Amino acid sequence: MTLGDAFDILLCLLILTAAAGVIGGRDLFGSVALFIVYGLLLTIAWVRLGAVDVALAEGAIGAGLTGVLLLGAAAKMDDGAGQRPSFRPGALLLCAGVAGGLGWAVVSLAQPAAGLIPLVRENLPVAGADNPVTAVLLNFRGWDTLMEAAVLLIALVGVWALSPEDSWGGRSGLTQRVRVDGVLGTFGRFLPPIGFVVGVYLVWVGTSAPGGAFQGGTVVAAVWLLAIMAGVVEPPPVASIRLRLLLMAGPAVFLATGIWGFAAGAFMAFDPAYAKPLILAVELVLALSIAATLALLVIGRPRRPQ
Amino acid sequence: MTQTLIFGLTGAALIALGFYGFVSHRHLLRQIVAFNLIGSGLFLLFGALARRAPDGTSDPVPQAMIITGIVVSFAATALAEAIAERLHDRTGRPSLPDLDPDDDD
Amino acid sequence: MTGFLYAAALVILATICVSMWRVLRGPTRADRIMGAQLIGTGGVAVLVLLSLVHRQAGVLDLALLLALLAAFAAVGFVKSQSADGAGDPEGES
Repeated sequence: MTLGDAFDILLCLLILTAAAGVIGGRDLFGSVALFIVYGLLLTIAWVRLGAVDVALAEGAIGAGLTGVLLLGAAAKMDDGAGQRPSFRPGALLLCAGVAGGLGWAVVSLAQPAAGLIPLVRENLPVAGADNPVTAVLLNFRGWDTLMEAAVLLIALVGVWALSPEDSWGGRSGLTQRVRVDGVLGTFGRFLPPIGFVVGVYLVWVGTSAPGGAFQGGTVVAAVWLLAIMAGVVEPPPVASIRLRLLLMAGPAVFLATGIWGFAAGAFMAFDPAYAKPLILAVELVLALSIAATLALLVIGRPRRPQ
Repeated sequence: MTQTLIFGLTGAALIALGFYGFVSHRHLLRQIVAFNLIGSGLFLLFGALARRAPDGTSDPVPQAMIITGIVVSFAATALAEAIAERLHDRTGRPSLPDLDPDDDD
Repeated sequence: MTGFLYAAALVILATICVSMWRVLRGPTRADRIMGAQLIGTGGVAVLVLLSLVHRQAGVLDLALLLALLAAFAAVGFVKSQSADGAGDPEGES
């Protein structure tokens, strides 16, 4: 066993400990805090698996946005009683069976296989992006990404639809009260500019190195949320036309380039000559829409009358 | 291949753990967290199997699908959380009512 | 050199185990979140070490991202601890 293997095994043991604590712990808040830790450890696991793009997405969404979303929800829904999972022998047996079956599949599949790597390598020169993951996301399997952007929008419509009649069309969340010269207020003014630069950098670098619209968009969303929580800016009312245009711009531009693909032969086919600028343009607009959608998903339904 | 085994088996264990948490908890937020464990376990399993190339690189196609999956599961989490919170606001209960009155756990 | 870097990363993982104990045990909410923040710091350190081992682009960017988002999670926690989730503990005595 090498030192690298020892590192992987200890990391996986930590991940499993965190997961067991998330499920088995009594305290709801403790479970959520452990889930944030779990996301962090998983981020390291993705780096070990050589998937830095996934690590960026997991770190930004799993450890960042989901953590803040669940922390807020836990504070609202915690009755202080604590919950232990009920003991269900049948379910335990079934889960052991699932684990065993999946484990057997992993062991039997653990043989060298090239997968789709040669195919991606062969087509990378005409894809318009040097980062193979970005090439798959925006070119080879652009369909998936378009549908994903649509799913985000639909989820946001679902969240908004939960608002009571009197606050429909108003601003999301509550008015934030912040002491201007306090730590929170200072954070809210100091961090967003730095974070915004990091987010834009991740989108820009995404065509040639790990990064991309989703990762960069998530960072911009986190930064916006930070400014909102610190009371520096207010979320726009959900009835605002400008907000709705911003939310739709990304999927719309992506769809438009897809239709333009008919010029190159088929829906979503990019002409290699234009592929690079097209992908970059789609990524930039998509990142802004994703940032707005994700941030509004975290803030939740409108709570204030218009 | 060691990495495929280590992380793949961890992923399998996470899926089972998340599934058990999902059926054994009544609090909706704990169920949402358990659902996220199932999802991330699946991604880890998938990602571990993507790392089987002889030259040690990671297959980009599963990576792209996992990124899509992470974002979609976040959207599902946010929607589920909003529904659970609304239920809590209206009924004061953090869990769904029992369908079977005899089953009081 | 790789051996030394792995050994250093293993030591940091061991310190993460200790912080994990604090997150698991509590007893107060602040204890748990401070433990989680400490694990975040340790995670950044592990990623910086791994960036030297793997020599893969983007790992350092990831460390930067996690350092930034740790502050974000801390603000989310502070916010969630006020009565309606919208206040500032410093401003309300």
